[in-house]
Amino acid sequence: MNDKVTKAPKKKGPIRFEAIIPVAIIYVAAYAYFAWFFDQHLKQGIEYVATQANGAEVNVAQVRTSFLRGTFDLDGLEVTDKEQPQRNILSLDNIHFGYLWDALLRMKFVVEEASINQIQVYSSRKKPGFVLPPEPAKPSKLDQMQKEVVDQVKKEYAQNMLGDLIALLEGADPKDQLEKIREELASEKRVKEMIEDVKTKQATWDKDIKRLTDTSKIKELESEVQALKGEKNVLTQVQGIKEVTDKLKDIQKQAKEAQKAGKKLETEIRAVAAYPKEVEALVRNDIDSLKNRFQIPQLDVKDMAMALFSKELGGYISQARKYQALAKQYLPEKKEREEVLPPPRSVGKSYEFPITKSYPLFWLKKAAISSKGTADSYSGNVTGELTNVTTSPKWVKKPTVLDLRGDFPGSQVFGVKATLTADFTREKARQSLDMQVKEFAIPSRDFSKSDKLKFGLTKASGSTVITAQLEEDQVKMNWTGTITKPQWLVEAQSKLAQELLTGIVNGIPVVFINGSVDGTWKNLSMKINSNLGDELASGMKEQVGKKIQEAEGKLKALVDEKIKLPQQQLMSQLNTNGDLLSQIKNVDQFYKNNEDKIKAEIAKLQKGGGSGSLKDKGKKLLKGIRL
Amino acid sequence: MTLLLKQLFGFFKLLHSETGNNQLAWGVALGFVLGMTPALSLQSLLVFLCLFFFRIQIGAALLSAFFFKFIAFLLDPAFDLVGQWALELPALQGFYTELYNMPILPFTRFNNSIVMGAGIVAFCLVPFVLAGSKWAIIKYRKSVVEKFRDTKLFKLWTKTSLYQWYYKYDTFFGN
Repeated sequence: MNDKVTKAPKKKGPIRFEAIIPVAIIYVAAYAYFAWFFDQHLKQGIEYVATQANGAEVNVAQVRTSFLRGTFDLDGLEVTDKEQPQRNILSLDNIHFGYLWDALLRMKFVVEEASINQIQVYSSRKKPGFVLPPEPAKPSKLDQMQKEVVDQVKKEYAQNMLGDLIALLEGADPKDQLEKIREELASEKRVKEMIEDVKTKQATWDKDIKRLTDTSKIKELESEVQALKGEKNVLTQVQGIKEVTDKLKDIQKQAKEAQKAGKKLETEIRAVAAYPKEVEALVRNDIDSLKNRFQIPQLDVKDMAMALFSKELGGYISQARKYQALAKQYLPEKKEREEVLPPPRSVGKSYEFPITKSYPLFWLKKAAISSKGTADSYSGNVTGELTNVTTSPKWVKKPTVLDLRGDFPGSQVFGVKATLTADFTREKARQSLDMQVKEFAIPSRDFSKSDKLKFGLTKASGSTVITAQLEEDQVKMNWTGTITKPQWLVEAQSKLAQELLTGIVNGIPVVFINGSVDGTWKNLSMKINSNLGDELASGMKEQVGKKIQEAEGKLKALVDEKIKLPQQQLMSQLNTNGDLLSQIKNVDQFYKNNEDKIKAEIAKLQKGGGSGSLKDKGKKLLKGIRL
Repeated sequence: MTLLLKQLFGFFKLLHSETGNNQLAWGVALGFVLGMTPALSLQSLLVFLCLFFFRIQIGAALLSAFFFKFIAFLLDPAFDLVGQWALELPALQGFYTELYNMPILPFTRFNNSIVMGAGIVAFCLVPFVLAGSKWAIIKYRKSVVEKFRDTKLFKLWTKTSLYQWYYKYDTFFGN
């Protein structure tokens, strides 16, 4: 008997009770990780990603997240300036986000309250941050966009207008420069081509005319007809008429050829006759391009203000373009783009359903911004708020607004008020900027800098108001600026210019500037008015105007001189063409007259004309046979 | 490659073990659901919880998920079409809007065409996968495992000291 009792294994139920402990351990481990390590790892992750993006060290002092409270805090953000690693390009004391739990449960991120505190620019670092090795240079799209705008400004108003005017005032003469031109002028080159063309054509025409004006055949035929008229032998006369008729046909052919050649010649001569007009237009073009080349300016009040301040306005537009392009990446316009560019198949398509009780995917309701200036940075006393940043502005029905106010005593900038609005709640998106700076120091500014003239400000105060709107592709920008307490820098080589300019600027205590920009980013139209431009232009108008006229006259004379000889040669050649035309017309007429005469004579002979009619002669011949 | 072989050997070991047919079949079926779901979502988490709390063969589920992941990858375009069809049904727009605005449910990512398509396909096919896998496991154990165990070669192998040693090792440390 077997004592051993074999126990049947106990049947296990469907619930895995033995897994409770391992699962509990996993949960405790997960909790422990999120409680003690997650923040540290998140901080390291943020530092690593931000460093790679910035190209230089980014430090975060601390990250605190609370799952239960739904908060995120980031303390002590320092972004190293990669150009100067001993300072930060940006630093923040604290960023705080408080998420709404109700939204988080719906997989939405709604920030009820947020704050960004103590923003500093260019603050010094405790130790220099490391800089990542530079990536191979590639043209940035932002740079290209800014260049596009700056090029438009440069294209029209890049010249040193004031410097050029002063150079003219001193009696600058483009003759020396003109004489140095080694290459041919466009007009000169074309005239030479025309002369060659006319020469070649004339050789052909002469040859043709010689051939066509050969009238010996028709004269010969005329004498043969006359001889036939006196012929008494009827048979010989009949035979002669036939020969003469055949010859006449040849001559008719030659006449037709002469007529055709005459028409062709006439067309060619008419085309050549248009050459002088073409030369005149080319000369005018040459003079204009030389005026640009030798910087002979147009004296225009509007242009003067533009030349003085276009660089500055161009700078504002370029900055606006840069920030608008940067912001565009984060603006909620994705829906349309998704329709244009379907996502890859494996990602699928995410449908958006109407939001009724829920929240948009992201909604930052309000973020307070505050900063206090320190001695070692460019930070200022700034307060402001950012409201309603969202992925669904049409649902929120409120535009995104960034409102900032503050002073930057370190940079001597006071009374800054800026309101940036991005309104995507309507059918057409509209972005606008209203910015005002009550007072700022202008350290030094050059309006013109050349060997002959240094003109600008050594010191002044300024105030500015900029308003800008972007609706679809249409940009509108207005700039009103004033420069007060100006200390002028006027250094001209010529005494006349020095006195003139000093006299003008001493009478200008305040400079007013009004600028406007209108159009699309690719095609901007700019206008600038300034009393400085008006005063300078009117003060210099009389004297500079005379000099401009003089310089233009000299330039014209020099161009005329350069192409005078070939032009004359061309004209004399063209004059001979008139003779050719009259010759060909005469030949044509000659053929016509003689052809008609010969035809009439032949007809007479055929009817029995001449010394006796063929009929009478035939009768006489028959009578003789009867005898 | 090593990981793939390890998973395959693990599965064969499971088939040759005494583990219940139902546990294995449920493992394969839930692995099918896991494999079909494209990314980490609420439904994946629920399946994992089921695997932990119910006596379902986790190894079979993971191996099955690993296998079906490849198939699902190829079937993504089809899931996309099914998902788009389902999400664009006019009659269900109100229902989807309700779901979209409810708490927790958006974590299923039901509004994504591939997630929805894969979910529909997985939900419809899960009973068939469960029944099919159970049938295949029983069939395999009867026709292959039992016959193999009756072969002289296997009997000879079970008498070797290496097998004896491995058997003891597996009894104490296996599973």
